[in-house]
Amino acid sequence: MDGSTQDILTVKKLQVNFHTFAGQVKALDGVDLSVKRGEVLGLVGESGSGKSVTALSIEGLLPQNAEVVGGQIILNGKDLLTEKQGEIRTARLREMAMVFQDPLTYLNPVLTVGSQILEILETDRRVFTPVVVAARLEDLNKAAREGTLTEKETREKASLEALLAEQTLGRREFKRLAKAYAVAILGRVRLPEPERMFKMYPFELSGGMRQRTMIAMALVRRPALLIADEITTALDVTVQAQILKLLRELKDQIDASILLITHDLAVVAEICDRVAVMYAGNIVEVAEVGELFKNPLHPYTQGLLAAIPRPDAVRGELTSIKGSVPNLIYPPSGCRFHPRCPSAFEKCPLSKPPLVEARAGHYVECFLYGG
Amino acid sequence: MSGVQSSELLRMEDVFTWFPIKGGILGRTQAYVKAVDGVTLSVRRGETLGIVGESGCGKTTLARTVVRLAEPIKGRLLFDGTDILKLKGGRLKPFRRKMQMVFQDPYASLDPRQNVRSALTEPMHIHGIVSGKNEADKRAAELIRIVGLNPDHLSRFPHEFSGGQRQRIAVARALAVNPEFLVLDEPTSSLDVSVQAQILNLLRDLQKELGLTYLFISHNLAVVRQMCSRTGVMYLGRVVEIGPTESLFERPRHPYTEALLSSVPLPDPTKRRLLAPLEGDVPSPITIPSGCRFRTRCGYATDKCAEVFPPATEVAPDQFAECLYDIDFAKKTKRELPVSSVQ
Ligand SMILES: Nc1ncnc2c1ncn2[C@@H]1O[C@H](COP(=O)(O)OP(=O)(O)OP(=O)(O)O)[C@@H](O)[C@H]1O
Ligand SMILES: Nc1ncnc2c1ncn2[C@@H]1O[C@H](COP(=O)(O)OP(=O)(O)O)[C@@H](O)[C@H]1O
Ligand SMILES: [Mg+2]
Ligand SMILES: [Mg+2]
Repeated sequence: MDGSTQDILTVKKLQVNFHTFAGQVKALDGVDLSVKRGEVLGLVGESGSGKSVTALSIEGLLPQNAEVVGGQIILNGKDLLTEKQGEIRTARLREMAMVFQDPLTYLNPVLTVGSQILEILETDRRVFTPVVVAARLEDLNKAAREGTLTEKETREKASLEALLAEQTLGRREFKRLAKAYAVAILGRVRLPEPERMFKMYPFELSGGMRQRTMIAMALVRRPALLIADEITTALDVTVQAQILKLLRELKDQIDASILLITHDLAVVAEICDRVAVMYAGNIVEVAEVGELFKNPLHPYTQGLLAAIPRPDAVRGELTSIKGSVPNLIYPPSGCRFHPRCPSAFEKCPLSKPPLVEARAGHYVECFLYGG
Repeated sequence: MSGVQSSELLRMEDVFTWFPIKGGILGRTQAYVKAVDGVTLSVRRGETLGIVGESGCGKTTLARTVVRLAEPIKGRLLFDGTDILKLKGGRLKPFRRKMQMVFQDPYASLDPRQNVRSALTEPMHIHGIVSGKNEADKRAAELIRIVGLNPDHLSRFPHEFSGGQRQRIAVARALAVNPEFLVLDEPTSSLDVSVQAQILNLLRDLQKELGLTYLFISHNLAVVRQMCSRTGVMYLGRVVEIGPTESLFERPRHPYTEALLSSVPLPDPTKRRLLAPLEGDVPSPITIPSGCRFRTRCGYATDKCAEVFPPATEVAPDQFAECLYDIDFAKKTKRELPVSSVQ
């Protein structure tokens, strides 16, 4: 699982603990994960498996009581855990953006949608100057190709091209371009009447519209990696279908990789290229999506697939996995799934199984497959 | 209808549960949230009737109306032939015992300061179904085993349990008073998939053993398909289609049911289909569209849909839909809606 150059993101042996009154929560137990350029990687697991902690670690948003005990997070060649703070911040700003489950927690209730987007851009004017200039130039170039460029626009085009080389832009000029760019992005996430949306407050929007706004706020940064954490979980199926459809469309337009975090295997089946299955702080299985659903190898993945009710067929007895997700203050020894595993044997409680390539491109962390 | 030999355990007739919105300095009622807006349905003895629909369509209000936690402004609610909306106090109490409700979030329905034993025995004493403490404790031990836990758990408190275990306790509490009818409002929505299956299996087994009747509410269509013999689809306070689960899922006849079903992603990457058939959001339950309430989002709507209230029509054996048109005919004559219908 090397091939680092074709990966936009590589997470290696990431270990994260939380300090709490009840004890140390060993939330991530050596997470290995990579997102290839241009792919949608699904990260799937039940609640508490460590999906959000993984995402927060990548984004650098872990809370105060968290401690990264070990591992690497390599974003486009830069190690986010060792590089200088300034460098890391710029790398994160330029390369990735995140969308969360509950947009209301991340939207400022007293600012309009438009001013929130402008704020993102203006706070890091230097970083985003090339972005807003490039966006305007794309429009102008398109007009030029279509032969509809006015004289004024021709002059603007020339001066912007010069600016792009110098990388400087006056405050007012920046704001003008940023605004046009923001409105265009609101249109791109298919919000109706983007100019009007620009002036609206979060409370005036429906759940689906808020989530589109959050996606717009992520896209303005032109990220190479979009991390989406349970973004459709709080939505109705009909709205979920709209958002997933949007993500699929955007993926082709924006040329970004997507790390899609969800507890819902059906969502994974619908839009992901590859899947990583997480259980109690470990990635237990990774495969291309068709392969994973056809040949699940890890007993946990098998159990999960057997337990999902299907809307298109009736199953007699539903299969369940015995017990429940462990408390990570006292995680089970060895393979953390062994107390619930129907195939556990002597070796399982003794040591942690390594991630092995059991079939081509199909990795599993289970002693049944060697290690 | 005497109901003595009826196969219907519960029947709702034209039930409206509206919530007033007060405003102004005088606190006058300015409008109503029409959460349940004219529902007629029946739940047959021993069956599981599923209710599905988007958030806010009135599922929980329907459930609360049935167990008399929400007061309808109009309608009849017959339990075993008796209109329980006319009953109060002591005469209502036996019916309260027969109908129990299990909520989505077992944490909210269990008192955190009460241990499991008293959570289970309290309702037994209230309804006088045990003669003393010993009998109650014995019954509690029996119940805890029925739901797959063990008597050691009786002296523990809710926070010491996982979500799935808490839901088992909530089920045990509902069963404590020997009900005939359980209203289950999203009983597995707060649970993980691997645990959800345990609870669904438990509910199925209990139904068989105890001969229970269920009203099963869920926004998860896959779960409803597994659990329910019949299914009703709610939209803006009305049951717009109801029928045998199999035929409703295989051949939906109301355009909303069709759209809802095709929005559900399948756990099968070889069958990608996501059509996103519905644009926009559900209208407000305060200002419900005239005529057919689904017409503002319906791909087949005509001018007539704004004027005529669609009556429930039997579209297939035992399957009823509130739509003016036959869906196959509508598909053939479908006219494109203007793009501005997004919103
Ligand atoms: N006590 C109340 N006072 C005023 N409005 C209410 C009250 N209870 C519910 N409503 C409103 O009635 C409508 C239906 O709500 P209800 O909780 O029944 O929906 P639901 O279908 O159960 O939704 P969900 O899937 O989100 O649980 C909503 O618009 C809701 O805001
Ligand atoms: N701020 C925190 N303090 C203590 N423990 C936490 C905190 N955030 C997450 N955890 C723990 O880390 C583990 C993984 O959580 P999380 O990543 O949120 O799971 P999920 O897969 O549902 O997103 C859980 O055991 C959770 O309780
Ligand atoms: Mg999470
Ligand atoms: Mg509800």
